[in-house]
Amino acid sequence: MFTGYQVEFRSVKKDDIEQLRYWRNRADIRLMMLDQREISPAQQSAWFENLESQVDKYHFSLWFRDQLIGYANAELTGDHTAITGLYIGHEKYRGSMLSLCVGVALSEWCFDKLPVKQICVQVAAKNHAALRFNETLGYRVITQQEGWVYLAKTSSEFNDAKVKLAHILSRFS
Amino acid sequence: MTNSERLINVFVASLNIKQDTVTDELAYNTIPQWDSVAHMVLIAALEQEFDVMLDMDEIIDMNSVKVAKEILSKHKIEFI
Repeated sequence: MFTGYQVEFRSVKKDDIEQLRYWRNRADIRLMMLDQREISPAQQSAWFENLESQVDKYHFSLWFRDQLIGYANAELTGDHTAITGLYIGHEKYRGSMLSLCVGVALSEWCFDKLPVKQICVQVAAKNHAALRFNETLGYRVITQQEGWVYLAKTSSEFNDAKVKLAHILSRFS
Repeated sequence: MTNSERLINVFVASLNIKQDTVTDELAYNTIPQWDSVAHMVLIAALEQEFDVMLDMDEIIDMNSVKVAKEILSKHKIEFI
C-alpha cells in the first residue's frame, strides 16, 4: 500500500495473521495494549474476515526486506482525528530504529492521506519507553487516567519533531 | 584518551548511566536507559565523537557495547 523509510505497509493477508497473533499474544506486547486478553486462532480469523467490511479503519502488515516484522493501524474518528497503534514483533527489530521509521511513516501517511488535523495515541503509563518514543515523534501528553496516558500531535508538531529526527531518518531513506 | 575511554564516555553521556555499567556485555533494551530514543542519541554521539557515518544496517545491528566496537573497528577505529 505504501513504503516509508524502507518499511513496507502492506494490507494484512491471511498468511500473516498467525504470526501476528503469536506476536500480539506475547506478554511484552499484549500487556501494553488496551485489550490485554490473549487472542485465539478463531478470534484472529474472525478479526481478519471482518477487515474488509470496516470503514475508516486501516490495518497494515509491516515488512522489512521481505520479512514480516509487525503490525500497525490507524482509525479515523469523527473529529478530524486519527488514532494509531503499532508493534514490532520480529525479535531482531523489536525496539530498534525501525520502530521509529514505522512511527514516522505512519504519521506521514495519516496527515497526507486522511482528513485529520491531529493524531492520537494511548500508551500504558508504565510503558516509559513507549512514552519517550511517542514524545520523540512529536506527541504531547493530553491527559492521564486509570493507568493510561493519552497523547496527541498536530501536523505542525509532527513536522517540528521530524526536523530533529532528520539526521537518523536519512539513513533509512 | 584511548578510543575505549572515548567510547565509554559516549555511552555514559548518551544513556545517562554510570561508567562501570559500560561493559562489552551491556546490550540494547536490557536496561531502561538504552531504549530506541536513547539509541538514536547514542548513534549521533558516536558518529560525532569518532567522525564516522554509520549506515542503516550498522545502526540496526549495533545492539551491544561489544558490537559497537566491532562496527567502529570497520571504520578503522581501533580498540585495544
